[in-house]
Amino acid sequence: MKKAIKQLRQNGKEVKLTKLEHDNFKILLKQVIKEQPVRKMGIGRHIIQSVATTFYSLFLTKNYMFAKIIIMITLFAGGGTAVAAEKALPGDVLYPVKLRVNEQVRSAISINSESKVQWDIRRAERRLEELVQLKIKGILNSDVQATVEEKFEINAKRAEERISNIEKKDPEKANRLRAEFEARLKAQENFFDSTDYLIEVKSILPVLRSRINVLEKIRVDHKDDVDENFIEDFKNPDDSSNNTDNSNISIRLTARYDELSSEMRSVQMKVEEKSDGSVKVRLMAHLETAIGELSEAKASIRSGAYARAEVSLNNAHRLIEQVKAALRIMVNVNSSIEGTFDADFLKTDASLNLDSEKSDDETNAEITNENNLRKEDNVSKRDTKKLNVDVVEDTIISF
Amino acid sequence: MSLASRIEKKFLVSYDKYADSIFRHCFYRLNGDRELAKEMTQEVFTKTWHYTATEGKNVHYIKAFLYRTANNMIIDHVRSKKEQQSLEDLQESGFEPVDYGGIRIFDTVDAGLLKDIMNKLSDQDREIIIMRYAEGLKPREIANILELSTNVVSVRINRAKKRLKKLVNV
Repeated sequence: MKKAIKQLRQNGKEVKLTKLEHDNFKILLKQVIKEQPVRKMGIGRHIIQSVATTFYSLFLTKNYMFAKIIIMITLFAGGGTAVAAEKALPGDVLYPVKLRVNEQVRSAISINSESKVQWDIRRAERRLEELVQLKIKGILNSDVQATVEEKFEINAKRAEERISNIEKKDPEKANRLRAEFEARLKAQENFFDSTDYLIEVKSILPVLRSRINVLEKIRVDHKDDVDENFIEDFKNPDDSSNNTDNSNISIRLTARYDELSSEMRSVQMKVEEKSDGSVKVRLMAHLETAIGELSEAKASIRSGAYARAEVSLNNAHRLIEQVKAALRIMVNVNSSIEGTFDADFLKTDASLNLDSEKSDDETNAEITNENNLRKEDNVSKRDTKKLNVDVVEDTIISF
Repeated sequence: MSLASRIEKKFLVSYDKYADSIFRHCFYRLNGDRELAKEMTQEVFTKTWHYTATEGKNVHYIKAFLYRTANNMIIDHVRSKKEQQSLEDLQESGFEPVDYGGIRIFDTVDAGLLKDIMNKLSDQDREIIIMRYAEGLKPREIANILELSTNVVSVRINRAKKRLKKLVNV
């Protein structure tokens, strides 16, 4: 063997061009070089090309995460325009940048289909938030409103399409995303429906409801299927041929139950921290219902009624998401009002809105409370403003 | 000296440095067809010049690029010929790879045996053995040329060596 390799090495050294051949080739090559000279494109060509190659290779090779970081740095460190555009509203010069650059880039850098759906849902919510901000700033007109509503519908439909695509591969994930989407839209619907201050933008409600109806119909159909199979679930919980499958499903559902229970605790803490009064009571009531659904899910998992367990988990998920969305709306409205609003104007308007939404006892108590506060000489403008923000909160959180 | 002149000079230096290696590579891969190997070597350098200088493409590692170009041309040549002739077939048809500059290739008993053995190896094994031992390329360089990882190349070399050993010991 060693001899063979030695022989090969020896032969290798001997196989070469003769001096004459080498020189003749070189003369021919010089001729080729003369006929095909270097392109005169300037010194920067190789450098530019090198940079471009490196950038594209970030996407074409495994350094995907690195590419993502580069984009983020470009956007957030170098992209002052992009940052400014984030606050733009319809009609602003930077609004197209917000839609076509910021949001599209964010969508492009969402790696998996689930995060793309999440971002589409968020985009739909952002359109609705824009409507509220336009109203608060007093710059809402019918044209802008129609445009925003149209864009909301586009974003919502895109989210639905993506969920349908996910359904082909992973029906469970699709159900989960639908539940979340429905809950978030429902929270927005309640907000627009119950806040008379937003009467001008109520034309969004039919659009919102049509999207909610689509999602509700799918959920109800799914529940009907589950009900039909419910007895079968109980009949064959111990079918030996499906033992492995059942065990896997049980593990998966238990993991989701644990995940939702933990999320429930975290949302409970947020509700405790960020809300008070009747708002808190209502939100907590929602969470109680969610806890009931979770208990039902746990019992169904134990008894082997997995399809029923999944429906209960989706219900719990929807309720939790609805509370989260309500909290988010509350925080957004609060920050917009505090940043831009004249407190007195808000007070009158919001207090009037409250009357239509609350029970007599609640209204009387709050009016008395407000009157008492007004009577106090040392009530600062800031305090009044805070009170009115609370009033708005009460108005919006009515499920 | 202008940028163009520097590029030309650098390319001619590369020719002096690698012409024999590329020729050797073509020679072995073409089962000792010296004339064809010469033509192909010339074409490899011409194409590389065209690619870098006139098309303006960037080449980071000229040696690997030359080998890759040679490899692609050999594959094209073999495909166009439909069937690859062995060295013995060439000799039978009157081709005798001797007496170029006084050098005789595979002209001893041992070399004859080695030639037979090499022809029995698969294309992949022959390629890697030739690159490693006849051309003296390092695994890292082979990896660069074949666009594989160094580990894969090392594994392939070891496996090819084992198969060569079996053939030698038969």
